[in-house]
Amino acid sequence: MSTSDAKRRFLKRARNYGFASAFLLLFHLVYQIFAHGVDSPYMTFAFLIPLVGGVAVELGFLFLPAPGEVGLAVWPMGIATIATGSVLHGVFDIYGGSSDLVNVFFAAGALLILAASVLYAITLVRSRRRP
Amino acid sequence: MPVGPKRLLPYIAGFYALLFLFTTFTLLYEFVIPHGGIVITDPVFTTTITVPTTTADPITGPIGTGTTTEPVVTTTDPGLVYPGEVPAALLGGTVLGTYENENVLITLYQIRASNSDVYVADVVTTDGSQILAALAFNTFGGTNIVQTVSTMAEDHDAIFAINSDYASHYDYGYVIRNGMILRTSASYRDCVVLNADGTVAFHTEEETPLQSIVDDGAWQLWSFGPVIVRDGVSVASVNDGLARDAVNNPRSGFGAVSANHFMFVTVDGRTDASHGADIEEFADIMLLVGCTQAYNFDGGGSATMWFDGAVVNNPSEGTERKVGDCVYIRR
Repeated sequence: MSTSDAKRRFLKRARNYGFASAFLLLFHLVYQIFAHGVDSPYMTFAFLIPLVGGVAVELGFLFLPAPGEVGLAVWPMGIATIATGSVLHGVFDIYGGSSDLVNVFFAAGALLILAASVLYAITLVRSRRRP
Repeated sequence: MPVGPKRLLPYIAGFYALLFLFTTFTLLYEFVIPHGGIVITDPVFTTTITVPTTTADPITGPIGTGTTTEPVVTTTDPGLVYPGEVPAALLGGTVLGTYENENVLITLYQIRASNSDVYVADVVTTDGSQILAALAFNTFGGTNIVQTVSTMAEDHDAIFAINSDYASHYDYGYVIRNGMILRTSASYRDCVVLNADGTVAFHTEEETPLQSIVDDGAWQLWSFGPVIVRDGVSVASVNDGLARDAVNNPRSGFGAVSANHFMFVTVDGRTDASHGADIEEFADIMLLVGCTQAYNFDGGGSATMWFDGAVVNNPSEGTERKVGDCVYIRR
């Protein structure tokens, strides 16, 4: 893949994360209408997860070495899992309850992010070793 | 050889399918699928009377490992006299119904306050044990085990019922129903105790051992809150940290004028006809109807008052919401 193809790919991925962030922001605004004045920071700020963890990271790869394909696949899985957990936590907060199952989302998402980070670190080490 | 993106597609699709399924399962498990809980027996009613003396052994382990006993409730001397004068706010309202037997005198009013229709059950009893608690499907501690107030009222041969604190909704907090201890874990909340002698007390759960509450003769303990009237003074605040308290909502609450003289209040809301009340306005309503002590129950769509076969208020969702428990008075 040429450098320009790679850049186009990261820009496209950043755009997709941007759509996801916009969707979560819109979801929060619509949910607020039916929440009778009750809110939750997990719902309010869920849009920041794909924004910071997605858009910013993908734009960073325009200047940094590209990760491998597996890492590129695993990272958004982690972002999606954490964002889903955050929205669910917000739903339960607004309802006035809680759920232990939400912790599964946060734990799984963190593991996926960690795995993608480790894979990226391995990629960087290998690329530096290559002559 | 590097892995190509196309080779990963089945795994990626499989992961997102799994994420969707687990999300769906989580929502169904927490909002729809009934599960858990222990079945509780109702009190046995006899014709002789004393203050109830039996309580269940405290349930200190996981739900279901303790045992419950049937508390014995007995009736009392005939002859009830309304103590003092009816509050002026009620005299200016509409009487929706009355009921009297040898143990209970109930007058149901509708008044207008806080730009809302307010329903007040003015209840005089011979002792606190006339105020009973019912659980949905007679089950405590489960999730999504709910019934309407009217169903629980009819199942328990009630003349009056109102939603209460939905104790099963929380995972912790003291719970005593009809003299039985159902949960011993303290919460951060303040609770209200109705003693069998008809007196009412408030406790901060984290600072009050449950045994001391039991030793004082607790008959019912509700844990939702906050306390809104204490010793004749409003102690409610819209800045108490709970978003639901700062917003105009339908409300239900329990108040005491004096020993064995109670006010159960429901405020309609979320409609053009009734705006609802924030927690401070609700405290003002409880003071208006003569309460010296008052406590906030679960509100919103759960706020429901039932009397003699019919729901008397206008639940905000257009129909009764199913809840976990209610307070009732037997015929």
